[in-house]
Amino acid sequence: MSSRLSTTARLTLANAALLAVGFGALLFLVMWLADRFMVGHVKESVEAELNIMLAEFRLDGIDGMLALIDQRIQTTTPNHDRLYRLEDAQGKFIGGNVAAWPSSEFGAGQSFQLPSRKFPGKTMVDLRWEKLGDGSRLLVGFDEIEVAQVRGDIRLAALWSLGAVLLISMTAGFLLTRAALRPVEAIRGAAQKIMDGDLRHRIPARPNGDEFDRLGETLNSMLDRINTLIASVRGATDNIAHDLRSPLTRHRARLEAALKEPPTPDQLQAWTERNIADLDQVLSTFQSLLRIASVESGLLREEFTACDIPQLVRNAVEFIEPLAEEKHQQLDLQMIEGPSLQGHRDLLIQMLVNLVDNAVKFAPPDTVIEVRAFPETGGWQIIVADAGAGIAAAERERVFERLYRLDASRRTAGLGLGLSLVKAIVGLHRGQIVLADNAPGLRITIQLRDRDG
Amino acid sequence: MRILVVEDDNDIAGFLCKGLREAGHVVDHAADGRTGLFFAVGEAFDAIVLDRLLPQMDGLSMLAALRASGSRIPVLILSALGQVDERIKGLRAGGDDYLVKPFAINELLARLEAITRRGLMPVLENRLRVADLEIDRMAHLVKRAGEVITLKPQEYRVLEFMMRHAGQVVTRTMLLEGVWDYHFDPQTNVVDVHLSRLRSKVDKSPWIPLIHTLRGAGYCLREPQ
Repeated sequence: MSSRLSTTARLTLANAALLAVGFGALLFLVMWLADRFMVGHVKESVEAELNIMLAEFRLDGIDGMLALIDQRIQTTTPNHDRLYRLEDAQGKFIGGNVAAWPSSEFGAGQSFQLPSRKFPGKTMVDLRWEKLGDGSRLLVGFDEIEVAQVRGDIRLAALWSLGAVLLISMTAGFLLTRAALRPVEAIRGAAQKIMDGDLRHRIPARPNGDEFDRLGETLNSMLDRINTLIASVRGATDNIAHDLRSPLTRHRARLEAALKEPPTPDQLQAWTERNIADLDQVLSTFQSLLRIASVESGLLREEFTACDIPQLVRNAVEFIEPLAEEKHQQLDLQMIEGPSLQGHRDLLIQMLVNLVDNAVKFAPPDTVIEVRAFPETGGWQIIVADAGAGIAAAERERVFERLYRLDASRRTAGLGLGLSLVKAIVGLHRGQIVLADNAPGLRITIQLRDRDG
Repeated sequence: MRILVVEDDNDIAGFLCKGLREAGHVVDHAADGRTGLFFAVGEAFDAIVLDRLLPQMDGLSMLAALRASGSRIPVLILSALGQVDERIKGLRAGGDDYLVKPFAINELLARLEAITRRGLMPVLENRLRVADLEIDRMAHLVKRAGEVITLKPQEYRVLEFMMRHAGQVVTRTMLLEGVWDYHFDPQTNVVDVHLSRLRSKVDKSPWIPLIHTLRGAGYCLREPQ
């Protein structure tokens, strides 16, 4: 819970901080530009005023200009600090509102600034002077009070809007982030329910089709897969328990019966043989389970050698042929030669013997069993097809489970581990096994991949 | 024969020694690898039955030390490790045969006989003969009482294996390994079917049967007594 809130808070704050930095930069730029523009404007006004005065001097002489200066001084509002000074060639005051020439550093037609005396510390005054034809000179100066005012206004407005922006962005950010993260909470809740024991619970589907929906779908299919595996392990465990318990129970019962009524000497031979057969079956089941586990571990890939597939297939078919002949079945073998396959010779042979033997076992007499082997890109394809009872579509996945046996096959000999081992061997060779309907019968297609393929 | 059993499990050792003595062998027992090596180097045995997992010194190390001392005594390795690669490791270390636990005592006796007789068998001889059955290994020709018998290649290989081990018990596993080089249990009676087909050709009446089935053990091809 705390981590979800902190994610929301973190995202919100990060968003607000980013906004504040951006907003600050923008504000700084605006103020800088406004400042530059307005100061330039004041300077231009000073220059324009000087030009007006000079024109007045040319038109109406010194008196006309003095009258204009007086008029300007009178109309200047108390909020402004506007300076005028006209002096003659000897520096004697003729007119204006400045008693002494403020600075001698700057030449004619040059802009310069001095602190305002009327509003000390508040603003500067932009000044400029020109010589008149008769040697006298005129100084004009305008304050920058408006620049400072506008600057203050902008700063105030900026502070208010920054506050508003931060408030809105934090509120919106918090709400949006929380809404966006709500599916995560849904997933967490679903996981919690599953952990609490409701294995069938799933993450609720939403129609948006966004990343979270896809995540939910993926997690759901993962959960389905885990459920299937659990079911299969459970099934296998039940089967293992059954297959090991039955012979052991029979064995125990026989021993117990022998305690009460020992077998007679002529029964003893058969009695002992039955016990040994039961124990052999248990041991054989163990052996097969261990072998499947060792094949599934994949470690046996270290023993891969170049295998001649057609030779191995021929070998397996010839080995089983006498069994087929006993049932008057025909083993129809067709192969195309091809490159060797990197594989585990012993296991491939065991797989092939197993498949052909199964076909012979489950196909009725007087039928044909097809065996095909041919190279394909990156590996080999092997097909074993019979005309037996086949396997119902619903059962086709289950026959690969350890010790799973079709009801029909419980009557025939075998441990129910054959196809599990076949599948493990195919997996070791990075291949695939597909069971299909041979109409009638079963058609097993195996693809084996070369190590590099 | 005088046989050394190196096995640390008392029950299995007792079962082994009893079975071997009943089969007419003289048996010594060592319960760990070091004692086993001491016995094997110091005294003359005809064969050693060696467990792989032993205290003091494991079976394969003991075997390597024995072979390093120049001994060529036949060794049958016993092991609960049944995987193909373990078998190959055992044979590479100098074992003559490899038997996976649990095993039937008959299987062990048959294999022991095979590895101790191996040196005496005329493996490279061109003609093998038992009673009036003979095979010409160069021509792949089989004759019984002078009559040529036509065999399929697999039947021929089974017969050849049986003839090379004439007089010995040959188990189904030995046939699987020796004739087909299969190191797994095919879970079918296919070996028996192969044998019965061979018999129907080689032992058909009125000839006296040479191939005998030994209950719980395997087959034996031998001269009529």
